Amino acid sequence: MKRITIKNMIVTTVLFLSLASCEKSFLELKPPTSLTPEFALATEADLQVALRGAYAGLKSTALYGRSLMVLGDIMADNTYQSVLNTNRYTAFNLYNYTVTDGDVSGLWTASYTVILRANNIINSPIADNANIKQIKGEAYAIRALAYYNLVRYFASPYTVDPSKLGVPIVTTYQADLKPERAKIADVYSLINKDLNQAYSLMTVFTNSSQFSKYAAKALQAKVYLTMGDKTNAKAAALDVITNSGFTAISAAAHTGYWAGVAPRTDKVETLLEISFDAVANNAFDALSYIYLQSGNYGDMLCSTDLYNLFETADIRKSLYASGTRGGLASVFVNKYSSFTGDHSDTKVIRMSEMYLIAAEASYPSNTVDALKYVNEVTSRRGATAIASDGQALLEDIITERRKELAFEGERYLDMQRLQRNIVRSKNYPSAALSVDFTNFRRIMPIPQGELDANPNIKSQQNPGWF
Amino acid sequence: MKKLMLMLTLGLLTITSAFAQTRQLTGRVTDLKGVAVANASVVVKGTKIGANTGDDGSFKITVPTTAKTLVVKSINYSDAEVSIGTKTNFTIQLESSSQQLEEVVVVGYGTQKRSNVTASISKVDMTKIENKPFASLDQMLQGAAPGLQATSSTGQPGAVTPIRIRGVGSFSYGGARPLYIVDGAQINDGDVSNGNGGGFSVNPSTNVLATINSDDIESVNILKDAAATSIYGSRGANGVIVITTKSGRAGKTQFRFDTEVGQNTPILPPAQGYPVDVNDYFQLYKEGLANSGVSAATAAATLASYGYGNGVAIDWFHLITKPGAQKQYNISASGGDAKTKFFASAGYFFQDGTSLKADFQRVTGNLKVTHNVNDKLSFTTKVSAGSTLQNSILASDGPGGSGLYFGNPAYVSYVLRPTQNPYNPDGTLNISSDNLGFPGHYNPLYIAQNDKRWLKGLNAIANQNVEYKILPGLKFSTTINMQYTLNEEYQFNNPFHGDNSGASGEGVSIVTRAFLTDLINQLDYHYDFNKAKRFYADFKLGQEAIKSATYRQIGDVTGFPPRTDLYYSTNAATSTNGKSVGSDYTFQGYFTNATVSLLDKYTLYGSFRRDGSSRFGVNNPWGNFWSVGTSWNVLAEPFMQNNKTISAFKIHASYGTNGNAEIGNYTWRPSYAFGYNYNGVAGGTFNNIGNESLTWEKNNQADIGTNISFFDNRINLNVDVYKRNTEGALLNQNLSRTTGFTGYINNVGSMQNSGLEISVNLVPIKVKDFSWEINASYTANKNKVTRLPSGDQLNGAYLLRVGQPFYSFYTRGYAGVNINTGDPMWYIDSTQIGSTSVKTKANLFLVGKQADPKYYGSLGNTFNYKAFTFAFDFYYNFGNYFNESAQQYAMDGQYPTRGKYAINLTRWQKPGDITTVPKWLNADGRTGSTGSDRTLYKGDYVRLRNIQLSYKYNNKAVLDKFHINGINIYARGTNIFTKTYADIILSDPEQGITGNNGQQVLPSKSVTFGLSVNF
Repeated sequence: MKRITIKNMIVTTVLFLSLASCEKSFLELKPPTSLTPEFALATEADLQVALRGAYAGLKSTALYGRSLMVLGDIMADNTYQSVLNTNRYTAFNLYNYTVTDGDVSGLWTASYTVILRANNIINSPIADNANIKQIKGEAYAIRALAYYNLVRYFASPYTVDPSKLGVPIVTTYQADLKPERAKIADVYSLINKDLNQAYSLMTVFTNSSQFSKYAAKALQAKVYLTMGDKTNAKAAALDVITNSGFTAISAAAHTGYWAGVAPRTDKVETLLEISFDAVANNAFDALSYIYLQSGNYGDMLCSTDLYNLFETADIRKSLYASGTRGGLASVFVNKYSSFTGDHSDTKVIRMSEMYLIAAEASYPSNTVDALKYVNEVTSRRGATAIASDGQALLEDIITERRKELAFEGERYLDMQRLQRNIVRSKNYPSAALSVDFTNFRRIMPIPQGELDANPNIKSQQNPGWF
Repeated sequence: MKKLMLMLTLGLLTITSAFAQTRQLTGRVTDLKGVAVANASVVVKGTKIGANTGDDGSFKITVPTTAKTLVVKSINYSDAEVSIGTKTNFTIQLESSSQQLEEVVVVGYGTQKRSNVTASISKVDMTKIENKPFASLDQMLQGAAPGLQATSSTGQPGAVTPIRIRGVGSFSYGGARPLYIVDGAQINDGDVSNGNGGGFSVNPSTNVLATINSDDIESVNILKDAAATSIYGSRGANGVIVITTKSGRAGKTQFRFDTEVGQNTPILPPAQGYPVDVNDYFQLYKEGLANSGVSAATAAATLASYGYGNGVAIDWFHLITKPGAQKQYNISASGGDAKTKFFASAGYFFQDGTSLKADFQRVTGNLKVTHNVNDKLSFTTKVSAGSTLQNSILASDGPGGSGLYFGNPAYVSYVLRPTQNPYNPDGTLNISSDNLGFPGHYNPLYIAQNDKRWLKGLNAIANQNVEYKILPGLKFSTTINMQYTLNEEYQFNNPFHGDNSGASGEGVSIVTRAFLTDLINQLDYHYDFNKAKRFYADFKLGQEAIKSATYRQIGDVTGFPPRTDLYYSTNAATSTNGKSVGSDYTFQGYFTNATVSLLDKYTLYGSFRRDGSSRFGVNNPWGNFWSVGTSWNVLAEPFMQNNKTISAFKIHASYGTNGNAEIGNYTWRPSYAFGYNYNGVAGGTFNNIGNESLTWEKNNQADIGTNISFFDNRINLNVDVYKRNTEGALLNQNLSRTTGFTGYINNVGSMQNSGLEISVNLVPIKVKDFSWEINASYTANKNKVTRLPSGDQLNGAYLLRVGQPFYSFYTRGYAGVNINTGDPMWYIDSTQIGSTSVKTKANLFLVGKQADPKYYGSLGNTFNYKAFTFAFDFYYNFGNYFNESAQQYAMDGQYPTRGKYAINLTRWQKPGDITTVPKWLNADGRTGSTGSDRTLYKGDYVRLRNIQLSYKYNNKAVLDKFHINGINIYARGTNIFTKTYADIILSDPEQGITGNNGQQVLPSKSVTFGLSVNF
């Protein structure tokens, strides 16, 4: 009996173990939607895919998807929040945003995400050829753009003191990085280095939704102007105007230009835009959604003083419409007209701005040029030509910039670079009608999430923030 | 010749049996105290002839005259054999299989005698929760067991009611939920809906449990401590809910029919939180305009543009809520013989939500067959399926979501103005976009009429179990359980009004299929050291393999023809999204445990399990989990023998570890993913840092408890204290954003829950026709974070800080309204001494308010008088706060064009006014209604969860005439009354585990009538 028991036990155990034994691969499941990173950037085609991923990063709602464009105007005097609103960007309308603000951390985080994507392309060891050079050139320009936005929002203007703290410089991926802030001057020197690289590497113009040689140069013109380096700004802008083959949009084509939704291949006006199409768009968080009225949020309205700047014959005035919202007379913004199907793209750099940069950079050294270039813009808009001189000329150029680039995220950055107080029209909340240049909220705080995760930056918060 | 003989013999036998004489036996089966034992099987020994006892313990059986012995069997009792002799009427007394604590308890991968259980396990009394007007078991479990917290966040029928056992033990929301076991196998539970389709959640949540008919459930056991859960190893860290479905019983086929029908009505918000009427609305608006210095002319124009004096006065709340029907019908049959037993059932459940367009219906079918091939081999097959249809409103965006959708009727009913007329003069629905129409928030009546948002689900479970008794005491069993879940979600936004009407409507279709297979091989060995069976050991050795495969298809279209009735995608012009994706996981485990019990007094238990999972890093996929437990049945000691007071007394203690693997299927993998497209061409990026060393989150738990009964079990007390430490918790470790990532998942957090659980059962009165029983439970749990990777960590509305509860709200302290100026004030910092009227000068701090309750429990009373039973149960919950994260839209003057809570009428008007509502300003830029603990409301409440009067018809003569065994009729009230304890409260206090009002379907109260017939 005992023998049988043992035999039975053995049989059972063997049976059991044979059932139990599983192949090792049972626990090894490969994800269906992703690759291991080291296998992902092995070929030229992979780099091309990665480059699109980097551009896709710029589409984030926190960047060119919406925030960069809205913040650049609401933090100044162009757009204000209607009393009837969906509570987006309220704290910027009121100028009471805090260190935990989601739009602030979004701008910071999304910018560094783009930088990571650009870094991975730039640092790829794949052997150079013309295509690789073009891809890397675009990546350099994308990285420069991301740093340029960061340093303008999170640091004091270069024109105040370039030795102040800028933003951390990261050029290679490292997971445990806890960098300190670099000096503003160092950030700008990286930007210029990248843009020089981009300029020399790129040979191809695909369309307006991707960087090209002259889009990089145009960006550099902006960068120099931001640095107060008028000589280089003018030279870069003129390089684009003279050599790029791009032309500025005429008055006749103006309306159609803004209604257009597809990236351009005709080298008209748009040096760079971030493209949103019928599939890959930000849906309810799209830029157009926050401006357009019927069927949209329509929270953001055009300030009265900006609207009043446009002469009746100015073709740009047709981008705005008068109406009532929240029981109050309002001016609606129709610059981004498409929110269904193929969505409106976000303009990053336009030819008209090159003329404006050339004009501003010519002042005060060469007011003839200044007048010439600024009127390249007024003449194409049906506006009265500018004929002023002295300080008034500069003011007219700045105003022309405001009119031309309104709702393109430039106004606040101009006010920063020019170190000006912001005086807002009565449309804004009474507590936030004037925002002096010295107001600490004119510079965004290092976001709380960064402070928490990076002890080295904790003591480097911008003045005024706690 | 032989053949002929055989045939002859067979023929003879046939004749014999055909002419065999029979006689009828009657009798009654009781326990030793004379209490009837229902459903005991009475069988003539050596035959299949038998019957089951009725509710009163009686049986009637026709037996051949040759029958000699009756065998009586019943669960929890020792078998009895009675010789028949010449008697025709019997009174048979059964002895409990154990004198005290005789119950059998479901434990990990088996059962155990209650007296020898070393673990903390609560058995849910199914008779108390069956037929309740709830769509799913998780809702029914509220208050059903100490240590179990079930808190709904929505009144949407069929939605998930999240459960936490012994506090929140994991940092992730999904990870803190318990494991569900049905008939021995793990199931995919919880919300398997898509969650996000083209920008919006299609359905608030899809609850797998809601596909199971609770009438098919025999028992629910809540496994709480390590000795109970550790055998489930990898997934038992946050408790295990073990569900056993009903099995057939031998004997005459018993039918049971249950129905309950009635009506649900919304639990309306408290008066302070109800929207103001048209007069009050304009009074506030006017006052705000005047206070803000708006000129009289502008003010008049503004007011006029919003319909001041136009005679329209809409009570939106009234329009979007409605009473709804509640009904369920269940029928089951149970029967079989000594060899084959079956249980079959069918059920229908319908619940109408209290908001427009929210309802749920379910059809279920279930069959369980057990067959004993011989003494050694038996198998059980169970097949069950539930198909559901859930219609819902657009409300959900996850547990912390705000529900702030323009098309969410629950939300817009607050913020639409009383002058927005839902109807045109001709009676059609108004969808104009002028100020008196619906330029922003949509007309909820139109949306409800024309949009679709449904989920059709199917959950089918096939469970096959084979058991082979190799030797006496040695048993091998294999269980293979397959769960198939299919969800078809569809959303249609009409082309005329509402979301995506600008794109001529939108159709989102999402199909999700999940297939889960669980294979368990197990050896059980029982060894008696002595013949009296008072010293024995149980061993278990097992292996388990689990594989889950999910597949999802998503399609998104826009551009519908200008109609509302052709809502399927195929009618639309443009396809904007069409994708499919799969996601799988596997688990593999080996487990063993042993129980040694001596004299039914001393029991020692130990378990060990080793588990591997695809969810963990290549370096660390395996984890080891173990537990030890012991129990001492004090009552069995000689020194207790003379005591008359104490009727049961047991002490148990345990310690052990278990794990948690509730993270994304591929989260540990560093990955480079695609879908980061640009200009319609594929783009990709390095999107997840991953963690190749990622491993199990571990939970170490110590538990000590006692069960003690007095006065012949008239007083029963269970007390447990526990401390559980979550170590190496799966938590997002923040990274400097300059890396391009915000963080990665790592085993870096620790958390502790310690608590006390008490449950009391009292029978103060028990006389001939009357008895009174009280059931009460109390759970106190203290949660704290004990380790974080790098100091404080923001976590939505909460801040993680060592030493503080996980759900600690982090915001500004609201200091009330300045009595002289009417300005809102905030405390400058956590000292709460200085205050400021400039909000941005006030610091955020931990305001000392938490979202998880400090204590909760239930109190129930049952009165029996003859055939009548009257019962009522309260559920209570104290010590937590919830966040009205959206209150700013209906509070103060910041958004003057939106509807307002009635509390606003108490605004500051003149110096000296003491109130929490500041001076009313138009488009108030002080933003006093948000960003401080003014949005946090005390969640204390007591709810009359159930009140029930039932009558058991027991006129035997009449019942017998109709071949009915018993009839029970009753009336029930659910959630009839709620008492809150906050000075100001704007909504129902039950707002989910995370304490966030997500503008969901209002909870409901119901009055229902039920009938239960056994025949």
